[in-house]
Amino acid sequence: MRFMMLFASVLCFTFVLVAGDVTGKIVFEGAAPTPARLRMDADPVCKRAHKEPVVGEEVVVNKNGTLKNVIVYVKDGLGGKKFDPPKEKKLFDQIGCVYTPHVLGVMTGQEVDIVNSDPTLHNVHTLSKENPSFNRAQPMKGMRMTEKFMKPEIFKVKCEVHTWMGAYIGVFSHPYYAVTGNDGSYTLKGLPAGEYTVEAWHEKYGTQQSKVKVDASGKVTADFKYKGN
Amino acid sequence: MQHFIEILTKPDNIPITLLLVSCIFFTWLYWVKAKKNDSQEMPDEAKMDDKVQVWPYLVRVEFIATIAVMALLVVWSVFLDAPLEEPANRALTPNPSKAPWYFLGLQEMLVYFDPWIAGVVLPTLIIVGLMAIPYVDINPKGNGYYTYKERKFAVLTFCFGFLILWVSLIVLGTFMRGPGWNFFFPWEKWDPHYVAVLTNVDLSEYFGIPTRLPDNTINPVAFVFGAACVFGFYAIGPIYWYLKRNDEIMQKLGLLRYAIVSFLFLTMMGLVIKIILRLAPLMFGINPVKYVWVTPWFNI
Amino acid sequence: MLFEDRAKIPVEKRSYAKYYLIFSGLLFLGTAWAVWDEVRIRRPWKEYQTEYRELLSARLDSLRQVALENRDQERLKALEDELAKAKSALQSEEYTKAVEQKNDLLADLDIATREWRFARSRSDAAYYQYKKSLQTGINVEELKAEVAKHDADIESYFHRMEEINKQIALLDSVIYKYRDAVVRLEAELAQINSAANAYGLKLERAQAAPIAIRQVILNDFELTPFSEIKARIDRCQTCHVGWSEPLMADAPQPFKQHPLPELLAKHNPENFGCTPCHRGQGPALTTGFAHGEADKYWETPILRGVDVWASCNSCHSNESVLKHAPPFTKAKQLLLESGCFACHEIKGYTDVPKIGPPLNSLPAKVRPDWLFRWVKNPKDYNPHTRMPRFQFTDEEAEAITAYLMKIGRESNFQLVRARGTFAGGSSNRGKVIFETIGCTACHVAGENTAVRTKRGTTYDIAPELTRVGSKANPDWLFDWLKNPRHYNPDTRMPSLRLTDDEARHVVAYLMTLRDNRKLDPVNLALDDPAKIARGDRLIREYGCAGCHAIKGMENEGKVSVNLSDFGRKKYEQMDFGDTRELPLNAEVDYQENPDGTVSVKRTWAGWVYGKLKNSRLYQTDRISQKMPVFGFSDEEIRLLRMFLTSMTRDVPLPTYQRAFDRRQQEIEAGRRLTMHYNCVQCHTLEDRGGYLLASFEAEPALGPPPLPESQGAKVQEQWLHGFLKNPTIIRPWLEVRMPTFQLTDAEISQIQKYFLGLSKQELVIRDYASTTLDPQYLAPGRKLFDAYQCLSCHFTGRIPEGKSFADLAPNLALASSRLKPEWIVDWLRDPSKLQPGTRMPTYFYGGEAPDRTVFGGNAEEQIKALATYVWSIGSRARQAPASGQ
Repeated sequence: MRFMMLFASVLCFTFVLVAGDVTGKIVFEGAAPTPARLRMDADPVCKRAHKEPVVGEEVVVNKNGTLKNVIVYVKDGLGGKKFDPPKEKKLFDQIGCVYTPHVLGVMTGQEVDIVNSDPTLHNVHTLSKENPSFNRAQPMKGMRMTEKFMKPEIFKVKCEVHTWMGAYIGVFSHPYYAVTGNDGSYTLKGLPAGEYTVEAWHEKYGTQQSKVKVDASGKVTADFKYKGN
Repeated sequence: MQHFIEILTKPDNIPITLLLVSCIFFTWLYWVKAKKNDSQEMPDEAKMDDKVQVWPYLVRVEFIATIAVMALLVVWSVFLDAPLEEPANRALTPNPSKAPWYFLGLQEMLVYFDPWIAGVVLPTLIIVGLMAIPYVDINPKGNGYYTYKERKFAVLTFCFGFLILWVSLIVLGTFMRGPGWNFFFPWEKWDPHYVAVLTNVDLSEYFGIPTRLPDNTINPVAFVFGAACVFGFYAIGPIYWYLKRNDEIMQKLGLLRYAIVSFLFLTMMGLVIKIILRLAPLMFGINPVKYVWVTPWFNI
Repeated sequence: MLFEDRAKIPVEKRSYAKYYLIFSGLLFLGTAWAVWDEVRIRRPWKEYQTEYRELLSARLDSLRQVALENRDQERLKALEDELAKAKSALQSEEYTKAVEQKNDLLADLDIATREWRFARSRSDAAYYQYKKSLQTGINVEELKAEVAKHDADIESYFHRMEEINKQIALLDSVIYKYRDAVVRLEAELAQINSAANAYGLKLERAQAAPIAIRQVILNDFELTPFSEIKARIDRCQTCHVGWSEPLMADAPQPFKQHPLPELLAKHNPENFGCTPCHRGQGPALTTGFAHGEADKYWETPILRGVDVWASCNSCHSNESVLKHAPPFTKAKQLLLESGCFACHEIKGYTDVPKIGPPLNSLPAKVRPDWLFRWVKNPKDYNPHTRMPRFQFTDEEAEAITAYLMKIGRESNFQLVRARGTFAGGSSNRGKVIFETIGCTACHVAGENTAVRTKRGTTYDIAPELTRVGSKANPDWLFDWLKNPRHYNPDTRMPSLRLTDDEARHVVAYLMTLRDNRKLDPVNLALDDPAKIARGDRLIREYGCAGCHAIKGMENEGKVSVNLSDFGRKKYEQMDFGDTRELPLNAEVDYQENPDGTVSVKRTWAGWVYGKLKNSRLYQTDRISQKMPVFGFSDEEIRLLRMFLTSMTRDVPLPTYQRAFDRRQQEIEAGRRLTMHYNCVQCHTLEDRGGYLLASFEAEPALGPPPLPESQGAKVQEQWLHGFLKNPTIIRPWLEVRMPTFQLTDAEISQIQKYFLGLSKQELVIRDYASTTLDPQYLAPGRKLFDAYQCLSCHFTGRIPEGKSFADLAPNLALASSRLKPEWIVDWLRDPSKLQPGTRMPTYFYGGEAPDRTVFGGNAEEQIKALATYVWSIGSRARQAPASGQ
């Protein structure tokens, strides 16, 4: 009986065609930590690729006092609804011995092109728990492999050859996620009316949650605040 | 008390509880009827000269009674499951190990006598005695009606032998013998670790005569003493005969019949005396009697 | 009154109709009640199955609805429209007319076919007559003509059939044009609906499932107490219907899915049942009786909580590591490491080496006053020691000390002083050495308890050294560190190949670790012969020789009871001493009361808990007990109690036992050996151990390498033999050292067979040095070696500069003398498969090679080439050894 009710409520949500957006920004408070300098002495190819000193992207605070590379996503409230992955591919590049983007969001089943744009050996070691972990080498420039991740999770990717290289991939079973960029803001577009738990994730500062209610009016704001140490 | 109720209501003990109740009821019924009959000239039963055919007038009542009993048994079976215990295991016997309820009287006798007497001689005597009853009972009265006055000896002997000895030994064995065949009062818990006092001595030892000599052979003095006690006890029979030999009843009975009756009766009473000798001294803080007569072949 | 009135009626006139009606009515009601009781009240499983059916149906239905909801609605709509259109087209005149015509033609075809068949039959008969006439010579010609006539008929009817078929084919092309459209659309619709339909099908099946007893019968499963073969009947699944249904993972009992499907894959309840592991009363069908808890006579009630793992021992008693049963493995480890078998006889633990050190030369090592305090209460000096507390009195401890000192004085052990003494060592440098070369894998010193925490036992596997400076004689320490087998030929303590200087530093460091507590001085009379004699008696009585080698006590037996059937012991056979009684319905088995007394539940489990918690708990002023107090944690007590539960002689018959073949025996022997030498303290073996890695959380690559199950397939036997005899350096950047265990050849071969067994290989004698290389693969291999930049991490011979040690991978020059050639090929093909989590990336994923220019991108050829080249590096290096290793 409970299941029928649950199912009925799911149906109610999905049949309501009114949809809204959730927007907001990730505010960073306190002093931004000095980013670590990446020493690429071990591989001359990497060293040559950069004229300026390169710094790590663990914590990137934007000029407007917001935090970059935060994933914001709907954690709870969509019920059992399934979404088809978009047809377009995402790109995960290794260029200048740095993963670009540093934080990537994809949908389950969406294709990701993992590309090596450096004339040196890179390997992509995914430290995933839900999805099968792999560790594959791309010794040539321009090598490309297309991968799909079928289970939602956020996991680290690292390169064993170049220990400074690290990135994160967030896999979601729905399209309501966003990664903050240089302005530290995000938008989750076209959420059906209903109540949701929205979570923000950052590789160093962890997760935060917020409850939002999307109704017919269509626009909801939810800001998150991270504190530096 | 809670433990006692548990024991009382165990599915396999309920029949014993019912046995107790029904014994009391029927004894009371007998007593009421016998008393009434004894107080009038003619027993009630003799007044009923109206006779009817067994079929159908008795059979129909029995048929209805059968139905009633079946209904009772069906309901009983709904409430009480067959009591099963653990799977048989020769390495691990249940404690207490109890005989079927109808043999508990025999098992209880094992406490007081050695297995040869309690397990063979006494049961044989019970059967022989029961078989002998028609031959030694020369009293024609009391047939077909309730009476006490006319069959005092028979009634009392039966009440004593069956109700007191047999039934109460069953009740004792069922409800008051716990682990290790130790005695427990109804309000006591059956403790498997119970430690009982073991200070039984032979009767001769009361008089400073050790049963066994230092080399563990039987002391002839104690042997003679024990034999004297036992034979002395059975000598009550002949002495009584000698005293009452001229009574009408004795004449009617004859020597042989008297000998059988007196032997069986004395044996029955001896059993009780032995139980008393074992149990009563405890109340006075004296060591209980183990055996009266110790022989290499049997102990009494 | 009633009866008296009734008595006046003559018997013949009395009516019994009323009584008859009442009693037969009662009998009828009673019978009806008994039937209802039998089929309904006493069969609650019927209700459970109905409830389960509803629950499962509801879940499947909601999943089906979600699946329906998740269909591509637009496409669905379009398809349905098209299908409707295609179906309406079936009403068109062209189609109906064609169908009509076809039906007419089919009727014609039937007639033609029949005529054709009859004509053939006539022809056959005529032919027979004709053939017969040939023998008699009568009517030959006539009959021949008749045959010809029938043959002509056959021909004509056959033509007619062909004619009709042609017309039908023409019509079919019209008909199928319409029908195909419908079929195609329906197939597409089915495709879209497939997920929902699959749930629908399951739903139908769930609803059609009969309400019935589900039972498993295990023939010849076990023996009765009278040694007769007995079958086991198991009906648990009658109520626990959802045990295999993933949808029931979070369902309430009895419908919940079994939490360990991977374990069930090896013990399928469909033919193995449930009670072999869970116990309980298999044939019973009501909760209390089936679980065996309501029936106080049922000897094997259900095992709850961690106790269920006890059942593993019924069939796997020979194995000390069970992959799917970590609590069981842990319990066996506890048992082995706590030395229970030293005093108790335990099945499967009869020839285990003694766990304690020999006590024959103690004066060289410790002072008598330390020994006295130790004997009195070892936990006082070292709370994490494995030595239990015997609660000796001062007088007893003194006597034991006196005896041990006496045999020590008589010992001919001599410290080797020629190599130098500890004097002159630097404690700071000693500390660094101690903390880096791997001593901390077994020994705790000071605050660093990471390894102990990771290990998770209340005791350490080797002595804690936090107060060793107040215990050990430094000269002895030096001797011990240089060569532990000098003092104790059977020790598990390995040599870490310390130089004299290193040893001096370490001794200096250890001597700074002192016991700073104020201890009362003791005054011991150790030469008193009466004391010595008493010590001798005490040592024998308390069975010290079970764990320690003591001179003069080599042939002492086990001092305590045999535990092989302990699990069957009844609580009535146990003595609870002066402990208070805990009611049977109490939540705990054991409870310490505020007034200092202890309450214990009067059950087997309660007794064992109390005994393991405090071995002297049931001691009274009359009953003395010898078992020492161990100080197990609650978790350890529960695990050990679980193991004791398993100690019964009634185990399943051999057909159900795990076959323990030669390979299994070799693996088990290896496990015992690796546990004995504590290999698992450093290395992860069979998913266990690697405790030292707790100190290398930041950079596991700098810690001891794991030993995956493929280890036996990886390294050459000769190399492993040499390595274990005398470890050589493979990863020069590691500060932690592989110690020299001074293993015997037999022990090494046990380890070899263990590794080979784990990787399912046989021991084969091979000469790896003469492995021939296929020259045509060498040059392409070299090319690929460069193209794939193997040297980004690996090196050949010399350690490259500018790289951090943490980033390095093994020296490939050693490959040909260390690795098996087949393993290199397997490794290159998929490293993660052989060693999950390895840093070596896969180059040939999806069976494709990154570089297309060599061997046309053929992955297998490239792997072969790379392996050949890697092998050749070492071969060359062997001829001209590279310097700098």
